[in-house]
This record gives sequence, structure tokens and C-alpha cells, in this order.
Amino acid sequence: MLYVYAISDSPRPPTMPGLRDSELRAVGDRGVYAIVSEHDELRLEGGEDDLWTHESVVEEAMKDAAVLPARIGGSFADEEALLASLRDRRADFERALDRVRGAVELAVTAVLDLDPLSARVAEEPIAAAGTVTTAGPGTAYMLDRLGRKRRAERVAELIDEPLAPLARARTSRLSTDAQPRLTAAYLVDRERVAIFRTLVERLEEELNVAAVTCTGPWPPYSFVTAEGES
Amino acid sequence: MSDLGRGNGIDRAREKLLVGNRPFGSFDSELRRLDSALSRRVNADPESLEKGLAQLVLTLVELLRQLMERQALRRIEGGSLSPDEVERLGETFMLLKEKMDELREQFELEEEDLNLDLGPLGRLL
Repeated sequence: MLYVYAISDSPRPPTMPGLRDSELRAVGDRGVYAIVSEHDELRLEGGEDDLWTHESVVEEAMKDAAVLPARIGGSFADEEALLASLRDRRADFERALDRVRGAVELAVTAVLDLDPLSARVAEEPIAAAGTVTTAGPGTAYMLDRLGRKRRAERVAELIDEPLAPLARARTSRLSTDAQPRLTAAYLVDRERVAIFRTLVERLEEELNVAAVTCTGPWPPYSFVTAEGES
Repeated sequence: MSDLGRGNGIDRAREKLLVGNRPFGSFDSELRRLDSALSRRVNADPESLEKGLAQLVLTLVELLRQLMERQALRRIEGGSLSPDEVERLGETFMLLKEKMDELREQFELEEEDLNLDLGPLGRLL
């Protein structure tokens, strides 16, 4: 079987060993290649080591090519099946390679503090509250949920506003339940990584309602498909 | 195994941290999820079958509960509900939430367990 690390626009595989010390090669043609290693049997361990090996191969490939990282654990039965898939999806891959060329992914996660007392950013009253006069427990519950949702959205906006103009594309997910958290990814030109980082540092210092973390640069894991376009 | 991939996850994770001071919390939870997803796929342990089934069913119920709650919130925001309707809806959702918490505890599941990774679509909840 062929284990797939990434789709690349370069026919030169990274000169490093892959999983289980395997040899890397590039399969494909005309600007769309899969970087693979061949295995009789490959059973991925759940732990970090295999993930970092996969990641290292993708990062090495990114150094001098546009690369779409494959999800960890993806493989094809043989070269024929892989080539058929590359042929079928050539147009998609070409578009996606164009989209990510010269850019990296930066991940921004924020643990949000939605306590109404500390969330000074969201003082605007809840519009519907005026029309709801029954002060029963059910109403209180719904208003509490609504308040949390609004505060989360407001904090997420505060984080996204300064960052979005620096990115080619972005994705984000906001969870307002037990652990309110914003998970976002930005596709950023390599030359802009430093300034992006400075802006996140400023957010982390200034926002008292979110603990912001930024990691990267990563291969564009979140931007392989067209969904992440802004 | 290559040198690059061997046992240096913490160092690599530290290298990747650009801003913030709590990277391992967030990496940890992602890794644990991946860990359990991989091992679930590999070992179909009969003892965990019941728990796995409960987890799946509760995940779907939780998804529906959250979708309905979000829909209700949108309607409240839109102002299309009378105060009585808001109160009744709220009570229903409150009870549903309590019931879900009870069931989760019975099967020793954390809130985070009631989620599915849908691959490129992201997580379910």
C-alpha cells in the first residue's frame, strides 16, 4: 500500500525518511504529485510520534513547493489507484495548490470567559429581553443561553477583526457550551507571519476575556478544500 | 523510526507555539481524541461496546438538542415568540439538558465525549 503525506506541485520528494524509515517518492505528473511511502503493512500508532513524522515530511516538502497536506492515516492500495484518484481530482488539486502557494496556516485558539461580570465587552442589552416579561426559570435559562451566545460571538469578533485582513482565507468554529472556545485557522502569506504574530500578541495582552494561543506555521491543513475561502 | 519523528513531540509542540502560554492543554485534548479514535478503530473491545453504543446514541441526541436550542434562540432573537412560549421552551430545554447530564453520568461520559470528528467537515458540535 502507498501511504500519502501530501499533494505537491514538485516532482522531487523530500530527502528524508518517512514513516518506519521508509523511502519517500513522488507519484504523479504535470504539476500534481502525491508524496508517498510504500509499506506492506502500516499500522499507525495512536501516539504523537507518527503524527510528527507525518508533519515533518509535509513541512520538508513545503520548503520548496506548494503542498496540500493529506489527513493522517490516508493510503491507497497501489499506484494505479492513486494515479486514478490524482487524475480524477486534478482540477481540484491544481486550484487548491494555487490557493495555498506561498502561504502557511496559523492556528488561533482562544478560551473564552463568558462570565457576564468579566465580559465587559458585551454590555449591550439583549433586545428580546424587553419583550419577555415572564421571569420564570425557563425564560431565565433561555436568556442565559442567549447571553452566552452573544458574548461568545462578540469576543470572537474582537479576535477576528484585526487578524482577518492579514489572511487569504480563514475558518473558525465557535463553541459556546461547557468550554467556550474559539478555534480558528488563518491562511497567511509567509511574509506576513511575523506581523500576524505581533497582532495576536497584542490581542493576548489586551483582551481580558480570552486566553489566546497561536501556533504554527503549519501546512495548510484547513485549506485543502475550498471551504476555507473568505 | 526516523530521528525527526522520535519522541520529541513536546519539543516540536513548543517550537510551534508562537503566542500564548497554554499550548499543551489544547494539544493534549486533540491528541487524546486522536488517540482514542485510532485505538477505537483498531480494537473492537466487547466490554466497551455498550458504552460505545450509548456514546453514539447520546451524541446524536445531544446534536439534536443543541440544534433545537440554537433554533429557539434565533426565534427569541427574532422576537417571534410570546413570553409564555419562551418560558415553556426554556423549561423544556432546561429539563432536556438535565436529563442529558444524568445519562452522561450514568455512562461515565464527559461532555467532550459527545462529539464526532467529521473529518473535513470539522467536529459535529
